[in-house]
Amino acid sequence: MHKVLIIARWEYLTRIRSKWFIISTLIIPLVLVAFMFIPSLLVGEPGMEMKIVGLIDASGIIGADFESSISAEYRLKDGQPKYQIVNLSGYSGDNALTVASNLIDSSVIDAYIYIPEDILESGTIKYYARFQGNYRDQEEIRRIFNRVMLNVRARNAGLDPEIIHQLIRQVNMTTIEVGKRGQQTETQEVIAYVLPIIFVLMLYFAIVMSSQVLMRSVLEERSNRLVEILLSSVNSTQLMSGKIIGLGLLGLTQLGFYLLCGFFVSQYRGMNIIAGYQAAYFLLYFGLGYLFFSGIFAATGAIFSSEHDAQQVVSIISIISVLPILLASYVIANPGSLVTTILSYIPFLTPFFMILLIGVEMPPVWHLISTIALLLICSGLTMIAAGKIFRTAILMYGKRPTLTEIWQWLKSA
Amino acid sequence: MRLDLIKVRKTFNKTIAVEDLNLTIAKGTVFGMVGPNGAGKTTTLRMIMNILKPDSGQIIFDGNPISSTAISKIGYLPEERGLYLKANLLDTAVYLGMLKGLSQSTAAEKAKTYFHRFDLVQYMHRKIEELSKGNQQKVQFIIAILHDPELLILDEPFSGLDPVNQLELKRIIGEFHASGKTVVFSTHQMEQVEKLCQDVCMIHHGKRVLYGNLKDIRNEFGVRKFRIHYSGKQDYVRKIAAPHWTVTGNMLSGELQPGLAINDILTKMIQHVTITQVELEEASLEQIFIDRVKEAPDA
Repeated sequence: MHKVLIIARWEYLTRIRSKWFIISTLIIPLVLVAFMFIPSLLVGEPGMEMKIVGLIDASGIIGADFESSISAEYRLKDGQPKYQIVNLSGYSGDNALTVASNLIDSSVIDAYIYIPEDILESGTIKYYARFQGNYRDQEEIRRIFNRVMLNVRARNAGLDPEIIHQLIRQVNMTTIEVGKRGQQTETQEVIAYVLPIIFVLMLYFAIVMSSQVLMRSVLEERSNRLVEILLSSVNSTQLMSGKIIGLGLLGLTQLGFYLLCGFFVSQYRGMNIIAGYQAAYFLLYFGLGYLFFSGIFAATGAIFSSEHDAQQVVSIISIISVLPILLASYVIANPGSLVTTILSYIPFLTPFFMILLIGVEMPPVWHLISTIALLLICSGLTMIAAGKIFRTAILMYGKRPTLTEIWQWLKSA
Repeated sequence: MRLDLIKVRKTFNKTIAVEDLNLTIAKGTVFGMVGPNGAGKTTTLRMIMNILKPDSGQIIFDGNPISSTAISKIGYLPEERGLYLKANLLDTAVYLGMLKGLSQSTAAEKAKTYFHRFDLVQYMHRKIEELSKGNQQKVQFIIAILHDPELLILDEPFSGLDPVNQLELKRIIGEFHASGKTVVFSTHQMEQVEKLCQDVCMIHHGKRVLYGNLKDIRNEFGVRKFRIHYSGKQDYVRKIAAPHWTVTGNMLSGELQPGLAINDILTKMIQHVTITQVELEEASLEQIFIDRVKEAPDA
């Protein structure tokens, strides 16, 4: 077996077996899934739980109407009304409020509503609850009140509430994405927005994490001095290439796993998340982006003697490459803008921006080709530069090289 | 096996680490490379291992410039030693053996044989960090000899070893040598060289100050101390004594300069006094080294 491949195999196998890798690979899809589903879980699927709501109707006009409307409108899965209304109007004045507050305190009721005497003039009701976070409940209660109030106002004006309801019916809008060849797909709006961001996050983790593993692996061999034994068997170019290949395959494995997860989720939820050509571009930009970053990280690992020292450089690079995630919403809103196009030609950002753009709207062919060419050239250059730095710095101990020295290494053959 | 260094030179920035060094290491010797810390020993060994490239000069192995094929016939134990602490013992040995050109199965087979010999077999599937320091050093040594090299290069092999393990290592070096292999090791402890080596090279400030067969060096440069006990008149003894020698009523003592044999003194004395006892003390290598360094022009 070729020595480069022996090194690549060792790096790949030792890392892929490590608990750290398995946990970090699994945790990202889990976190993403959590972000997607937890908010709706917290708000609660309809039909899960009965709510007991107190009602104090000081006006005596709309309470009964509200009670019957809300229990008719919202029902649990088993057909029971979702809102169980407890009428506390029997208590007089402030007494009712005290009783209701006590009931909330002792968790007998979840919330209570106060309808003031002048409801027809003020049009304001009060909603009391221990927690105000449940927007779904509040929205439903507001809707029913609106309807009941409209009925009362219409009748007072001598109009038929039914006609009024017909007249003010809202317009619904379905959004349809127009793709290539006039193919039309109904979009799930949130998915269209979130998916490109998820793609970029995955690419970011795959590239930056495998590059950081690479750096750590170089640093480890430097600090445990194994590098000398390795360099007595292979040359520094072989060592660096072996590591880059092995850990690149590691990132690819991670990415493949993510894509597979995406594929199963899309099958399961019946959504068209990733098209085959998108996956291909994904892998292509991963490869090029990884080559670009891995050169920088390998050289960084060779220059510094501890992870602590190297951390400064790493954080600068990480901040630069996290920009696409911060700028994602701008790019999604303005995929064709000049700013987006210019930013997509900064090598640190190119892979991420292009994946973002491909997720939103397929960029023109010239844009794809020119960014791929740019990345090819830039990663070639970083590889050459990293090779020079790696070769010279790997056996230097004690003293950290100055920027002038590094520049001299780069100039030398 | 034959290794030649021809006018090898290496500078770091403006410091000369090794200056025009000439050496020949012949098959079957135990070759000692001595000199104080920072003399250029490690740099020289790294150049032999092709880890560093000399600025000028040549390193010739079996008649050809040093190359990766030649390197695969050399075993190397660096001065700064370490291992993958989280990795398993057998896996590490197999990996490093494969990088030396062994097949996976041969590497595993050989590693197991050595683990048996060095009493490490029970740790074979453990993580290296679970091993004691002494055992880790054995592992490093096994890794250096796993591919059955013709030449073994050990950089400061005794540093950090406790006396028991030092003894063990000397035994192994002895065995390795007995099987016809060549050993080069560096040290700053002269007594290790005196005990183990046939040939020696002393480096100081990157320059060769002494080089050759240890016995020849002793004969050539070794100032030996002598004490001759006698009975008889001391007047004559005083007459033949050199100025820095000491003469007492029954003893003549001093240092034998190169070129002067003890017999020359005895022949002269024996005509007038009775020799009762002769003591000769060999100069230590350390003394020879210190003397040579003092004589060196830019020391």
